Amino acid sequence: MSEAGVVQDEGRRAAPTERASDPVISARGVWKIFGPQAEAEKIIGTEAATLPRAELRERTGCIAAVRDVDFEVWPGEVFVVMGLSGSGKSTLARVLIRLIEPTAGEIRIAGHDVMAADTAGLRQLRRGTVAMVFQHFGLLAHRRVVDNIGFGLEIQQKPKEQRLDRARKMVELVGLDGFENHFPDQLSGGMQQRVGLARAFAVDPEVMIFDEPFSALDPLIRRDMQNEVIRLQKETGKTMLFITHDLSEALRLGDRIMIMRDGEVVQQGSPEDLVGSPADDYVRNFVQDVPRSQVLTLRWIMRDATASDDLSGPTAPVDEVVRDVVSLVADNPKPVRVMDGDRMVGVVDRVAVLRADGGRS
Amino acid sequence: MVRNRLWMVGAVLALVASGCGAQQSPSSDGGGSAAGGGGGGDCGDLTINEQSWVGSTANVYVAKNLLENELGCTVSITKIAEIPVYEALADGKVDVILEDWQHVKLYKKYVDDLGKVKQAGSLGVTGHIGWYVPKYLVDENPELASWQGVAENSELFQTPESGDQGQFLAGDPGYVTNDESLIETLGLNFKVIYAGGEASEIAAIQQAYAQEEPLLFYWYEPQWLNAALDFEEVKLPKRTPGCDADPDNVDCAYPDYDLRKLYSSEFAESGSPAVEFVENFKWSNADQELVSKLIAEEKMTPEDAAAQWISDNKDKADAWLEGISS
Amino acid sequence: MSAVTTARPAIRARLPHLGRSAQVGVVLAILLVLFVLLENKFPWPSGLIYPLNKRFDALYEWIVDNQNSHWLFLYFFNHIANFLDQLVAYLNGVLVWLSWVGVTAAATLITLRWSGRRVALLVCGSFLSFGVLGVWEESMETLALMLSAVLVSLAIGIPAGVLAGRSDRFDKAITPVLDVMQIVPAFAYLMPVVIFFSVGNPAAVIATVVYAVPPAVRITALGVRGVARESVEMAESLGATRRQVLFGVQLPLALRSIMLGVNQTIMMALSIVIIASLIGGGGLGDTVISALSFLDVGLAIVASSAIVIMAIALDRATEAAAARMDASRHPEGGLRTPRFSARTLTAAVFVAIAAFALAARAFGIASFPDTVGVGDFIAGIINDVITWVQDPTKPVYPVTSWLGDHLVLWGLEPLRVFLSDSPWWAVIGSAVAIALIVSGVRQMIIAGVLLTAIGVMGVWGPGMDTASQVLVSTVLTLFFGVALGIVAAETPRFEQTIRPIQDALQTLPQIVYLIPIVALFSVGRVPGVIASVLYATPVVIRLVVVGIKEVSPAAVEAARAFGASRAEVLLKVKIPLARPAIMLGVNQGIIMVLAVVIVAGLVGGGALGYGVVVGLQRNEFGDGAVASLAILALGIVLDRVTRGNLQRRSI
Repeated sequence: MSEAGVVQDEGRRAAPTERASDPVISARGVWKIFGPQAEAEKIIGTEAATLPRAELRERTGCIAAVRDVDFEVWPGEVFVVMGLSGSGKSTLARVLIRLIEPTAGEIRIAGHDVMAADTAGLRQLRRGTVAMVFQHFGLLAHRRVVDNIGFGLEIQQKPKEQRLDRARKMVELVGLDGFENHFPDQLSGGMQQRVGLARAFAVDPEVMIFDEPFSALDPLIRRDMQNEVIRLQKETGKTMLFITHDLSEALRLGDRIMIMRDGEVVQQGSPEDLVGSPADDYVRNFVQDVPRSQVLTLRWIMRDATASDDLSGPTAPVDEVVRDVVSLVADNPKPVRVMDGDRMVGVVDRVAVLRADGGRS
Repeated sequence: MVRNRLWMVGAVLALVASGCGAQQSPSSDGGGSAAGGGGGGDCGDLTINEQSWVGSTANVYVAKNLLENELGCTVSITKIAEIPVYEALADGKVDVILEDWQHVKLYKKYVDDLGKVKQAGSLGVTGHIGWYVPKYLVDENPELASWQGVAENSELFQTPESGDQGQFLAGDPGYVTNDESLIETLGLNFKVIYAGGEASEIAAIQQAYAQEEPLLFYWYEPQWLNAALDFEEVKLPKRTPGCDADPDNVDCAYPDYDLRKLYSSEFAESGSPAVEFVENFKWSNADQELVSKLIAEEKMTPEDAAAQWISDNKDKADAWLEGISS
Repeated sequence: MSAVTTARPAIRARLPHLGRSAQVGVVLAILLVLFVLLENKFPWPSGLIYPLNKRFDALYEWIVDNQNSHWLFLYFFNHIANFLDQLVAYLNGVLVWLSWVGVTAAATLITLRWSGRRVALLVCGSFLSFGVLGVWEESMETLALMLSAVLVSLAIGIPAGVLAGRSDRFDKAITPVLDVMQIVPAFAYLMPVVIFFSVGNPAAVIATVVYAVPPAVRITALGVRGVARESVEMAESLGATRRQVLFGVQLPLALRSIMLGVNQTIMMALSIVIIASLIGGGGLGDTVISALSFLDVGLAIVASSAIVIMAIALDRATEAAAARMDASRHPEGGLRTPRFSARTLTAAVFVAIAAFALAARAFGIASFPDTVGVGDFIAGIINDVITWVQDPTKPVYPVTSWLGDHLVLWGLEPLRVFLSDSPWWAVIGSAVAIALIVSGVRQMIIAGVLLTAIGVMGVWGPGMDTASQVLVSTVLTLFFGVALGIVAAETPRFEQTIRPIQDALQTLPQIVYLIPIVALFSVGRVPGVIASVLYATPVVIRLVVVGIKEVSPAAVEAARAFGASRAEVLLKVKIPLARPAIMLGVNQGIIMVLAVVIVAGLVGGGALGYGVVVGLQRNEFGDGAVASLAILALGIVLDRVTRGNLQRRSI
């Protein structure tokens, strides 16, 4: 796990219970079964739908890529979908805007009923509301950088001046100044994906979908790009759905993370939910090497105060990450009081902090 | 990029348009100069088809020379194959063919039924088809001059290709032939091998001739090669009435063909002086072979060969032109 | 598909101890035994013949009777014919108006603009050579015809290719149609084309288009399919319409492939010029045919070399233009703006062309200076060489005639007898068994059905005769193709030397060199075999060279590092790794050999090719159509059997 750990930003982390508005994306019972359409539709709701993937394939020739997935993404949130290859996460991303036609389910994005949309409605949704960033960038080799960035606006048939104007602003936003007139294959991989980012931002979408955008990049560049996304998210406040197979990336970026396996959702929750209480062995295996102190907040290691506790020690907020209170605990023999606002909710002592970093829960 | 290409397309279109505007000029130029040579300005354009044997080339270029220089016509030449050319005559793509070897089936359709093609009289040349061997063979073995002699000596004509039968070399599969039927009806131990065309048959004949090898082949007159090499015709059974009526059961020699000229009905009624010329055009086997030989053996261009024959045979040429109002 | 994969192991299991080639050997041995025991006992039973040719004849009659009254002709075919007639006349008009000066300038400047300096020089020289050889006007007629055919082919081929690239269903539906168009010899559909479109330029254009469309469709489809799925998704995710995806993403990214398709289409169109002239196409084909008719092979070669030169010039120009489509995306590294915009340059090119043309007219040099001597001089030399080569007292003829005779005695005739005198059911049975062993169940069914069809159409004997010729030709083609291909891949200088020869052999009309071949090898099946070997070997060479050159340098380096000698590297690394490409060569070689079978029919090869020739020459449409279908069936059998082999080896 990287040393930088999880970037903290108090403002971003709102507890689920406090949501005031509607979710930007909501998916209910979404299925994608590859195979003949009629055949695939029959499977849902039957006993066959519960079969393991290999068995289903054996029996029906169909492959269930996404199985009964539910989730919501709230405004301004970075929602990460994580899974190994073949888990159905990329299919899910495409199903959301019907690049791949879902077999069943209910999808709403920014108030639009995606499943009910006709061709024109769908096109409208894709043009204005959602923008996607792709694993292999999806750049057009025959166009200059500015023309690639302006491609979305060109599709919306915006006048050329407006297009170029906007594209140049985006060039600046992603730090590609001076490369406007280059062609994609003259740029490094990282720079190419900046073009991909700029193209997505250029259409000023309400939601951005990232499909493993950095997995084709070198580790160092990947780090830069992750920071770039965090920065851009801060500056623009966009809602983001981020697909990755890289847990550290998920933990760095995600406000909430959804883990998928074989098309199914295994667990959904905040990073510390996953690390703190993995739903099953699959997730446990995933998170076992994560330095817990960098992910877990005090909520996970505090205990109730007992009569023997000296409650005159220092205080720390309940959603402070463990690592950040290490020096506080070390410097104070008294237990640290964990505060949720003005209310004390528990205490943390040296033993708990050391245990947290020890790994096993 | 796309814009550039559009621009290019525009430029091409402009160029095409300019070419179109000028398109008329070359043909009218051509017509003018031809008219200057002759005097009659109302002949116009006509198209003659040249067939794939040299005799036909000789016909066509002699006619072209006179039509252009004496009557001021503009003659274009096509080289459409023997069968499709009927279709061409029928819809006026071709106006004239000067040497037709009587394709009975096609006559019935195009001349009799559809009425779109008309006969323009005899070419004067008599076509003769037969079986031939080189003269040196007959000199050595006189019995090879008749089909019975050939029949008894089939092993003489064996080649790897014909196996244990004698080889009978045929020409273009499109030519008028009864050979397979003859061989079967007469009970000969021969196998027909097609050379595919006049040129390759000549190549095969010349090769055999150079080595004085035995060869039995389908051959015909008029043909310029007859003047260059010595062949003997093999006597086939005499013709009797109806002996070749059933194409699968022919047991007699080929008939002589009075080769004919054909033109399209449309052309025949056009009133052009060329019509009368085509009807008049008539020469002998010897005349045609002479021109053919100039072209094929002495490698003159057909134009030059025709010009030479015309200047040597002023009287014959004038006879064709006589009475045509020019 | 899944049926094939599941069925295979079961069948394999029955013959567990033998390798695939051993199994084929067993099948052939059984056939040989049956041949010896039952020779000539089981000819194709006459009860199993369906007189398809009569059906075709009836159809033909109907067409001839109705061509002037039926609406189909009056309102459909006639309009097409008129349009094509005008198109050719139009282009011809442009070329005539430009005059030789303008045309040469146009060809040079256009290649200079889009293909580069070196190619422009080549093109300039090529066009001038048409004039020098004394065939300027004929060349322009051929060029106009060819351009029309290419335009029509692309107008059909590119949209169809795009569709095939975007829709699997359309792709599957159109593939067999393309196969038919490529395998059926052009000779076979000349008569129908004439009936529908009459003779002349329209018929010639149609006949050419039928032949030239398949590569345009195939290569375009390949290009469109080759566009990364993600690029398309990207555009879709931004809300692009299908049109926007097509024009904004798929077509631009497939442009290079499409250019290669254009290139192949031009090559195909040029290779059919001679045949087109048989139905009134005019141009260089006419010159070649009449030169041949008075046995002037020299002149025929001079005239056809104009075709070859045109082919090479256009090939290199379109190839270079396609290559620059990648490079020109970033002129000068994209940092510097070029001094003139692309638009200005293009405009300048066209203005300059017009200026050249006008100047030529103004100065009265619109017709090419008289150079009659040059073409004749070259023709004379060629004729002298040919005369010498054919002379039986000189050393060439004895060798060739010996070779030709033995090819018949030891190759063609025994194989023909073996195939046509074996019991027919044994031949089909072993072909089916071999197809199963080599290519699987699906191909087995295809092979069985099509071979049976050949018999049912009543051409079993000729079909087996043709099959024997194709097999012998293929063996020779592969022998020379693979051997020369390996040498060419290893010695770049040799490759450079033979490339123009390869081009010439591919575009030179076969009938041109048939006459000397007939003189050298005597009439019969051998000239056809030689012609097909000459035609197909260049392709095999090319594929072998590509295959060997594309062997990963890492593998070669590894072998070298272990101390392998050059020969060992070649034999143990390069050739085994190039095997898929070589197998593709086998497949293509067979198909191309088959394409020349028709020519063999012209010069005494007999068999199916003869049937097709007779169909045209003697107006026996039914026989010709049946022979063509049989050739098609044979072609598909051979293609599918070897293609299956190819796929399985490359896995």
